Amino acid sequence: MIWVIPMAFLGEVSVQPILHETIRNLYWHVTMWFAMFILLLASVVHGIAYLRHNNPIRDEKSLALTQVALLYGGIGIVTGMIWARFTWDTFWTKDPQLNGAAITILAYLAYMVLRASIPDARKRAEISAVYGIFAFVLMVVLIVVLPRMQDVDSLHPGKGGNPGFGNYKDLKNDMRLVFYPAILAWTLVGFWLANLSFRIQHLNRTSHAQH
Amino acid sequence: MPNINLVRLLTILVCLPLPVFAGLPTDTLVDLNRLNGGIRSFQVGTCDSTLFYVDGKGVVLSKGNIPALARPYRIDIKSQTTEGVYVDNHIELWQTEQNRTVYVEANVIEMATGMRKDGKIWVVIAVVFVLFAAVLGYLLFLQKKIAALENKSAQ
Repeated sequence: MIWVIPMAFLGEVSVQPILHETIRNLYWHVTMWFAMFILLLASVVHGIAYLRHNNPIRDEKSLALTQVALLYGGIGIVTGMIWARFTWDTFWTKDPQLNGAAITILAYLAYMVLRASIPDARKRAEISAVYGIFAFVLMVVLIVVLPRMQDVDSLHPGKGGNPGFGNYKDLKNDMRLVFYPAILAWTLVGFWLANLSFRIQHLNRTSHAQH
Repeated sequence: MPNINLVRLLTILVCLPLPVFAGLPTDTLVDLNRLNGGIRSFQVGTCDSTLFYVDGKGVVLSKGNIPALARPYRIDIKSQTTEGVYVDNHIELWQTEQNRTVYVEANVIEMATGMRKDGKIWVVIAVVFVLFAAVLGYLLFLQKKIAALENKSAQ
């Protein structure tokens, strides 16, 4: 994996077609959200696995993945604000996608607070696994479903009657060639970061147990 | 980098009502190249085409003899200077029996300066910067945790 990631990075940079303007943010801002989605999905899978088998390693993995997903979501919000400032002329709009994303980020911040507030390890793992499932469903509804519904005004491409990625007549396949590997690369980086975080937590817990 | 001084000077100069440019052919109203200090491309927006036309080099010409006009006739042209700055040119023509006046305005379009210049590529740079700063920040956070672990195992 450690080999795959730099390769994905290098490949990604070299194939980037020279597209003008901020459309290039597709490879940065948008990939963050896709990667976040995949990381959170993995986190929920680990959460459900914990609920079934009560293996604390699953809980640790779920937490690490959520942590990195939150980081990605935060980056997504900040980069989106910068992008919006110079395209939509404002940092924030009433766009349902923006508010949905903000609520999701807050929900996952609440997840972190909730975890920190439960001293008992087993209870903490159980509650956060259940909360994680609800938060994931909330995220899917707010970010994926709601902005795509009819009669919802959104400035985001592909929503509210705006042309999306698939509607670009020129270079759409060239862009796909970069976009999909970029999602893959950032997802793998995310898993790697989460793995580091997990290993630290795991060492912390096991060394605690020894003392 | 656009020459800011030039742009400022231009705006001050050409916001004043100007008489017909001396030394140009009689039917030439405005030469965008002279006006904006060299242009790379231009796009004609609003145009009273019964009176005006723009040749390929960005010279605004009037069609033949202009009768006394009841209202000011206008033409709006957006052009990009050789330095890459976008300029909105608003040209109006008044004609009375005695004289005719060409009013020319050149406004540098705010959209093409600062972060918006160079096709807004600096926005992407800022986004990438934020992304890497955040990931590095997270790595530092992990590093601190590892250091704490190391300290613990050393004890």
